[in-house]
Amino acid sequence: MVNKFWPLFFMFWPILAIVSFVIAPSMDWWFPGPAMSKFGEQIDNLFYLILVIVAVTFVGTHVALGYVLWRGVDNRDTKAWFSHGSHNLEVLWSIAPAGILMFISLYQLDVWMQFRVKSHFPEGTTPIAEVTARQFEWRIRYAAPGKKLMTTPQPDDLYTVNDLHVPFGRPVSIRLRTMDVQHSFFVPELRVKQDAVPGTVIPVWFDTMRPGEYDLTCAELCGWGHYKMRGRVVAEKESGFQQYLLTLQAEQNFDGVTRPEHSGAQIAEYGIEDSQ
Amino acid sequence: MNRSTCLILLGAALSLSGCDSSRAPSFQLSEQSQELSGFAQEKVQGELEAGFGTPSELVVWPQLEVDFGQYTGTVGKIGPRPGTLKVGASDSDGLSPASTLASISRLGELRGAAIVVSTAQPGVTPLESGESTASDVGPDATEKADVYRVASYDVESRLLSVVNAAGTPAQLSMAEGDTVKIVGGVLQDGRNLYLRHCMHCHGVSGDGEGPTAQYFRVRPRDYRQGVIKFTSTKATVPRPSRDDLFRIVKLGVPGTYMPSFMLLPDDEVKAIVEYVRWLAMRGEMERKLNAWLSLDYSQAAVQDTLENSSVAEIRAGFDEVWADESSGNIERYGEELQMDWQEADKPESVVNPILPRTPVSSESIKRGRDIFVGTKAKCASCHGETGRGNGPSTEGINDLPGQPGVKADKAGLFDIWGNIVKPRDLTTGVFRGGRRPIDIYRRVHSGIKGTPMQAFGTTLNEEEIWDVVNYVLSVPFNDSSNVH
Ligand code: HEC
Ligand code: HEC
Ligand SMILES: [Cu+2]
Repeated sequence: MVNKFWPLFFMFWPILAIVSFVIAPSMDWWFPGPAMSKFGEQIDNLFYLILVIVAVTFVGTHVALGYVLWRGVDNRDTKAWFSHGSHNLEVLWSIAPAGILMFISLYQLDVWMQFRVKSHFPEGTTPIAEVTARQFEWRIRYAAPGKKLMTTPQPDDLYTVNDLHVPFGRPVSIRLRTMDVQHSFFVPELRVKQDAVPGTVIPVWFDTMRPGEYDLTCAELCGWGHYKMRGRVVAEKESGFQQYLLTLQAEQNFDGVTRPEHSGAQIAEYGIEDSQ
Repeated sequence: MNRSTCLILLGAALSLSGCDSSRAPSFQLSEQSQELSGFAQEKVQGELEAGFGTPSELVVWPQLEVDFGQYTGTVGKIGPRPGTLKVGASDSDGLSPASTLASISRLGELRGAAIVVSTAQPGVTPLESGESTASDVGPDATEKADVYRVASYDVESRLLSVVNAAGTPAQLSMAEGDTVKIVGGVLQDGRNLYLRHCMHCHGVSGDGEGPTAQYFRVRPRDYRQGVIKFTSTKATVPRPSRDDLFRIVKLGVPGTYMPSFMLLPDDEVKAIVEYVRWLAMRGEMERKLNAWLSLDYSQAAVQDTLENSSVAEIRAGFDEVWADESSGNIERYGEELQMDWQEADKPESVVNPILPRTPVSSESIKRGRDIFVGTKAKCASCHGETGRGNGPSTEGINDLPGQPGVKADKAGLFDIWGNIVKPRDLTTGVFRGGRRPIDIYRRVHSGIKGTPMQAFGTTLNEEEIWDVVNYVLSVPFNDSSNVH
């Protein structure tokens, strides 16, 4: 029995891998829910494809290894056969992985281009906000309602922090910057992750399929307060988004006399003038 | 094999040093208090503990203008175990909120809150539930009252377990129909949230010396003078309103390390605000005691008197002074605190212009610019002709803020916390106190408290201030001032 230790040892890992794949979703070890963006679904598909390839390879090689060892343990009589290499085999196991890698890199090219290359952004992607990461918060700048977001601040721009509102159902983009060190804009449910790099402005686009609130976190250890960089992305109907901008505008132009016309909710969130 | 055991041990060691729960947070005496001689220090410490307690054992001092959070109810059945009782006579009523913020503190988490039981006495009208001010938290003079602490409250069964000061189940001397008040839930919630979110910068005692504070150029606020910079209140009102604090916590202070807590629920922010106000009052109380005692009983003063009297004599003198004056003084200090903080929340304390903002136009901006560089307001003497924050005052020796005639010993502008403050570089367009026109209006009208930027509400009229506001808001977009 002791002789079977190594074959069993190598068989144990593929079994563990399969068991953890199977129970992961029910143990909540999986994604934070299904992708909430169309683009996120593509990312998930790529993820699953690679997962399957890797899993088959891993399980296959371990099963083969286990099998060979198992056979060898039982078969003490036949003399071992020494090989000084097989040219054909070498070629085979170089070409097969290379082929697989080549396949993956070509297959994902579309998605990669779509995410990274501005000219391949989906049609109609509109820049809606500039998001500036800073130790330890997300500062957000919108253009005034009805205006285009300019690259430099404008007098009528609207500002807020940690709370990015977007219209759902269509692709939107942000201008991602950082004021200090490197940060990373990460919205797990939308499957968007992009580093913010000092000195550059990086356009990031995403879409949201359903209205709702999604966690925004920083995915780059950026200092002692890294954990504090929690924000949220609020996806809402186009009209709700426009209303949000109008409320923000009214709040921001408040002069203590002219009562802003607002829906109440937002101003109440800032808390203030209503209570006096 | 070896490596993995090593990692596990290392993990254990890290988690042991990481969660040292034995270090309970405690309030530190201020630097001024530490300069008092030992016996005076002891009294100050004792007085603070009596009025405010420790971070783990908060004390409700009803006179303070703090919404400690209060529930009221009536005593139902006593028992079943010692120290337990059912709240409410009929099946429907348990504890009901009796202060504006009471509903914030989660009923199930009242552990540690004070419970005050008053016996209904013939001829005394029972307490009305409903809105109440902080001052009717304590027992009324007409009531016979016992004070315990809540061990637990089960919302479902309305079962209240009560312990006495020593933490053992209380011998209840109450009867069915008595009134129970549970006080302090909001303050406790505020404390918990403050320790989690704010303490590492602002410190346990609110002294601005938390463990992470050393990393910042702009120091976290020391609350203990009761002063904060960006308020909506008039220059003559020394304290911030609740709304001011709420807004600061929600929006943060842009351009500094003070973060925005936008995503914390409103009720949590309100509880934190009560706790911050309470910490400020505690700090003020300590300062007031110091101001009274330091003249005669600081270590230096005692050293001086030692030349013609003995330690025992000084000590006896102190005890006499303390016995004679302390209770009167402390009562007066409490009243001052109450008045100052009450005033800050009055609607008439808020700066609200009568005229709406002058529409932005080049004429208005020009008029504003003239005032900015002119001799009437002298903004440029600090902020510089181009608003870059490099005016001549920043290089001169100035008076200390709030102490006319007392010169600083170094060049530059100082705030009351002893830090150098640079006048804002207005070309950046980052406004710490908010960027709304009303914010800038209030900055100019009542100044920035605790800093050398004084109030211009009496020098400039409303129209002039609006012109200045229009100018200030135009500076970041003004090319001529933007050239480096
Ligand atoms: C990362 C450090 C940090 C944390 C965490 C932090 N603060 Fe601050 N806070 C600061 C700094 C720095 C300032 C000073 C800003 C200035 O002087 O302009 C400040 C200022 C303030 C002020 C005074 C603003 C004024 O107008 O003078 C208040 C009130 C305040 N903080 C409350 C809080 C509360 C409540 C929390 C927790 C919910 C908190 N802070 C958490 C760093 C911090
Ligand atoms: C004695 C010097 C002094 C004078 C005079 C002065 N300021 Fe200031 N000002 C300061 C300082 C110091 C600060 C920064 C305070 C801080 O945040 O610590 C400041 C800050 C400001 C801010 C920024 C407020 C914010 O929310 O960030 C504005 C706007 C401003 N000043 C406008 C003015 C205007 C307008 C005048 C003239 C009517 C003026 N100041 C006169 C010293 C001065
Ligand atoms: Cu970060």
